[in-house]
Amino acid sequence: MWIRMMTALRRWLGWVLPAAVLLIFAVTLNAGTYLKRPMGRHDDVPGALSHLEQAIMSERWTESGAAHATLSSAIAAVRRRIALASERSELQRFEETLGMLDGSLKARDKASALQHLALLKLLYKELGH
Amino acid sequence: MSPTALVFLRGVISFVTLLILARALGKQQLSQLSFFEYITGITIGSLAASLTVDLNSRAWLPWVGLVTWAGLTLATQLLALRSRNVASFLAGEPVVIIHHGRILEDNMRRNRYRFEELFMQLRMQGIFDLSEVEFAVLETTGQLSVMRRSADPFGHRPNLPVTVVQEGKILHDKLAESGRDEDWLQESLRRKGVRALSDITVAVIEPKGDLYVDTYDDRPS
Repeated sequence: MWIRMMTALRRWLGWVLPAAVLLIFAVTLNAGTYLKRPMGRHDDVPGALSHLEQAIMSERWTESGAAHATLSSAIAAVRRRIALASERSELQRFEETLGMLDGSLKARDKASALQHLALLKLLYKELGH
Repeated sequence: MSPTALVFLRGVISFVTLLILARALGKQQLSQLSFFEYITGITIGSLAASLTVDLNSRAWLPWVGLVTWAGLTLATQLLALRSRNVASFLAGEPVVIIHHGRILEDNMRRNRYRFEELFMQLRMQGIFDLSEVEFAVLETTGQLSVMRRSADPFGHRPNLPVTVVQEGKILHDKLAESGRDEDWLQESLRRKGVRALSDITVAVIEPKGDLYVDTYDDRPS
């Protein structure tokens, strides 16, 4: 009886355990969409993007500089979480655009800043998809 | 996360996935693989490598590719187990190259098999004289199986074994090839005490003309 139970359990584990591992991998590799969502104020990328847009629209350049710094630290926090579920080039492009936005803010170029901001929004939407 | 750590993590996922899929795909040895299975193996390996080091593609995509290729391979294996036609389509069938000492050039041409390859494979089996060969069969793996001529005092020449029943079904084409008919088969099976065709795993007409029958009942008699 005991031996039969152990054999059945071993056979069951032989299928269930590998299937569970594959399922965990599938969920982990697909979790980018969920993991990029803000878990607090420190990693609220959509919030920082929205704040930055308002500051640029009303040409409050000092405030937009601070919002840019908040956005940079927020994306750094998110980056760690979604590294496994996203393309390295996607993240690199986001950071490059962030750098260009910084230049536009320093030059107080509203049109260029809004262009870069629009691209950042698009890149964030695609991140981890 | 640094690229090194990312490659390490992706490598672990790739390795464990490959391990699970390889276990599911069975225990065939490399030398027993058909050309298609060999190509499949290379593709799966390439996808696993891409999953590990290609950081510019999402890990999910090569992982799906890996699971898809292994899943399809498993599905074709299961289909081939169920259907002889599918098995024959996927892996091909063994081809007789030398029949009663005569080389079948048409079969060689159809399989793009050269004389140099034939002679080399015969030499590798220690055969340097073609007249020693009764039968040579090119297997689906590309290996050559050879039956040597035996000195029969009565001048009888053996034939290749022919499978005439497989998993309860008569292989009519093979039966006709062997020069026997269904009446002969039914009579032979009756003499061997087999009640129904569905009891038979495999029945083979052996080189000397006897019928070998294996049934699903594996209890020792």
